[in-house]
Amino acid sequence: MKKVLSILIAVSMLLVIVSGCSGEKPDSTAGNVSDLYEQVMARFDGKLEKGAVVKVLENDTAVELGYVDQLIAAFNEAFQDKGISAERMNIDQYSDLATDGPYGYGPDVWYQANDILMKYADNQHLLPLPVYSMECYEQIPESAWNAYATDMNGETFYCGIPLNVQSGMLYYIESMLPANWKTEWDVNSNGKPDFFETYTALYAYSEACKKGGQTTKYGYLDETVDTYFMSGYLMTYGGYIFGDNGTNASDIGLAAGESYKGARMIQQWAGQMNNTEILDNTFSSAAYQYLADGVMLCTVTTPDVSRMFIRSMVSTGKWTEEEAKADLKMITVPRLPVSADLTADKWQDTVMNMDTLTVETTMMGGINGYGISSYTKCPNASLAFVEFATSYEQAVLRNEYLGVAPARADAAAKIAEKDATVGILFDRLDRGYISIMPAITEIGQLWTPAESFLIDLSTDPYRAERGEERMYETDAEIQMGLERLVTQIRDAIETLS
Amino acid sequence: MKKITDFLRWTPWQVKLSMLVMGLGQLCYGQIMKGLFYLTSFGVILTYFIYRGFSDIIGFFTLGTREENLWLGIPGDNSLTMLILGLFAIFILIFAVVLYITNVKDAVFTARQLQAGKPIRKFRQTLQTAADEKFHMTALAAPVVGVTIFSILPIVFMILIAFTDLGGEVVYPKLANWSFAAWKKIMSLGKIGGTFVKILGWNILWAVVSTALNFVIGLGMALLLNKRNVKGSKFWRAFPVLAYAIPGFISMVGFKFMFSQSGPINYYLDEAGLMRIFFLTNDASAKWWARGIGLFVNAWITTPSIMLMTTGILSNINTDLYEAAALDGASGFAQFRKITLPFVIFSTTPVLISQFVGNFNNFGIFFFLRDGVISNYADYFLASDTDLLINWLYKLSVDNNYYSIGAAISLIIFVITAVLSLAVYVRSAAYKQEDTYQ
Repeated sequence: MKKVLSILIAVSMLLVIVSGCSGEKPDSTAGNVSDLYEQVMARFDGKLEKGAVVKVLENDTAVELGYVDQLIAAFNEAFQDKGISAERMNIDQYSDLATDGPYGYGPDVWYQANDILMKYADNQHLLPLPVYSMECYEQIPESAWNAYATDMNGETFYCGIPLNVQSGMLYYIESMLPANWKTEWDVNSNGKPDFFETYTALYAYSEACKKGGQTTKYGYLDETVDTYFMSGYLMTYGGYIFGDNGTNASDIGLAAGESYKGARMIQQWAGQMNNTEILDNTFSSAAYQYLADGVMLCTVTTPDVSRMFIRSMVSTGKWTEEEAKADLKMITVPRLPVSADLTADKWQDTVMNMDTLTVETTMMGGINGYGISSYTKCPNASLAFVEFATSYEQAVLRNEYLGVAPARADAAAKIAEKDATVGILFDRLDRGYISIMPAITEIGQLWTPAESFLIDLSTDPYRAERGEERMYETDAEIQMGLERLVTQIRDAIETLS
Repeated sequence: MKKITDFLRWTPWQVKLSMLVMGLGQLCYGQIMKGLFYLTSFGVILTYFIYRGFSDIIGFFTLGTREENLWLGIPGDNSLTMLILGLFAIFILIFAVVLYITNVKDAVFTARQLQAGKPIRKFRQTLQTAADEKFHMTALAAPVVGVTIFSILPIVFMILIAFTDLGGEVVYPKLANWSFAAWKKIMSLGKIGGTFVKILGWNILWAVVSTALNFVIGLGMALLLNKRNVKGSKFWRAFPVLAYAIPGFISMVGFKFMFSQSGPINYYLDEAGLMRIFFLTNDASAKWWARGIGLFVNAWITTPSIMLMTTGILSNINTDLYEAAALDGASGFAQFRKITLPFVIFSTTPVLISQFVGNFNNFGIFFFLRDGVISNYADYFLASDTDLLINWLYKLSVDNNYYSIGAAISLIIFVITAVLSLAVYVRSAAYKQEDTYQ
């Protein structure tokens, strides 16, 4: 069954390559580029700067798990005879291109999430890249390219090369599933635990855990104040961050549609979890150990941290690395109820009538990729490094080291043969259930007001217990809270502009 | 005007030459070394101004006229660099004016010496004068230059930044302008102004309470451990010293963990069937908990030094005073109020003022205890309800690149601390009765 699914996903990946990837993108044929494009790309003349050492700033996890050393060693070996090489920079070294770049500091090549990279593109601190002539161009879907698109005189340029897709995935350890899940928690007999199919069932299972007698203390435990993961609840019911596909900061849509329904469920979860640790942003780093120790059955986080879970599992002494890899599962997040109430429907009904009682959950996501600093002294060597690092071979290797889902369709198809998760993530991106984080500067003003709102929302269940007045008892109050949040974000954007 | 005309009529041609070109007059008087020094300085300064000084000064006023296009490789101006270089050029200009005046004065001095029939000073004599009767000027020259470069220049730079629109979206390669926008935002009743008032109120309360608390606890411990009937006082004294010896941020990180949601205090509250408390979390109920914890942690770190200082001061009090007071029937508290406290306060006033200024600008406590907390619940703008002005300044200028507002707040902090410190000091016994205890 699994093999058939993997083959189907692989075939769909190939279809994406043939259709979606090349359909809407700008014409990349050599004769059709504008004068402006030629002027901007003039520095990429293909002449490698002899003796250049490309400084690369990568993310901590990739460094820690040895991928970056491998990448740099492979690049240095491949380009030994061309007289260029690469070296790794420490993450804390001059990572602000706007303030350090003009004075000659900072990386030549920088790996980051699209929202962080693109805030530097606004003021031209990142170079537009000659993407049409790059080998990876046809392999990457348009939605991923759009995360790096920016305009100059009405013409679109791309300031980054998408490398992998990030979005929330549900993690659990297979051996910690309740022994009776096949008889008690698989009412639709599809071979999947029901509590991983709908959030209503997961809520019911979490309630069962609370009563005791299950394999873990908690069912689902998560940081309910994390905007990145929790915004999915709002988006599923019509909310969005910025209008016009995340490019119009004057249209803030967190209170749009019926997003209050999503917020109501975040509040339900906070009350159900009844653990104040989830209100602290240190929870995310503690989550690896909690899952390994059996404190909770599942949590939601990004695919790139799967190795951190494996490491925590191995540290308990109960698993070897190979066993941990096999036992740790990463699946797509469950579906949310149409009623937007985790207790309104019978959980069995939501599983049996998924199409009518539930909707697919939209999650916020990001496209991590490489950008090249405008202050680099070696643009051609830097581009050579980026081309090397975004090649099919390196995309596959990156997945092997870090478990991340590549943005390249060919690499995703290859990996999907063994790991269906990557295919699912790619498929969700293609179907629009991953809402790419806006890449405009104003996104910086989202996080703190949104976190404050989520804290207020998540602490609300405790207020009654403490004899304090509740802030968000009714849907109208939640809607007002969301509208206040929108005002705060707008104020912050306008005050700083 | 008449004085100037008379002066110009009187001046010999050598002085006029020095007024035209620095050092020429001295050379004509045969003061070769001095003349060469002035002439070389004149040459260097003139070359500097021809090649870049004048354009730097113009750049200082315009802050740039051409915006750089990094993508097309079109060069442009960098406002921040132009501000720094322009300021530097102005300082060089001031230095050149001072040097020119000394050059003219020196030529006039030599002319008057000759007029009085005295011999012209040789270079060796000039050096001897610098080492003898004008030694104060020679000795102060290097510190004055050092202070100018390392203290005055950065302070003036910071003050100037407060009067530009630098920061936020106006960062390189965008060009900045001279502007009062930062001050308008602080003084207005908008988000920044509102947050400023709230933080300033808490900042003053914090500085007063924490200084008083640290002093009272430190003095109390010193008095307690100074008592003859306390056994093993040296042993007990070692404990606060240990807290003092451990780096402050280690203590702060430790306390942060203790009071965190997953820390031992909340764990035991949970185990005891009590509600967990939001001590430091980003929640409205944590406001006074976090402020109280901040005061406690600050006292933990600071009181040992106050205790050690006051222990030394207490040992200097003449015990005869206490004996005489006791004979006059003064109670223990009266002795403390009339003898101990005035003596300790007299000696520690300058230290208390520095403690107050230190506490007013105590960056570390809330930076470590509540990193990342922004209190949107009460409309704080990019600040938490425990932030002091210095923490807010950091968040605005370092985290959000909002340099001009940050610089304006720095200036306000400077004015407040300077005025309060001076006001307290000139009213203190330490200032008014400087000779009393000498």
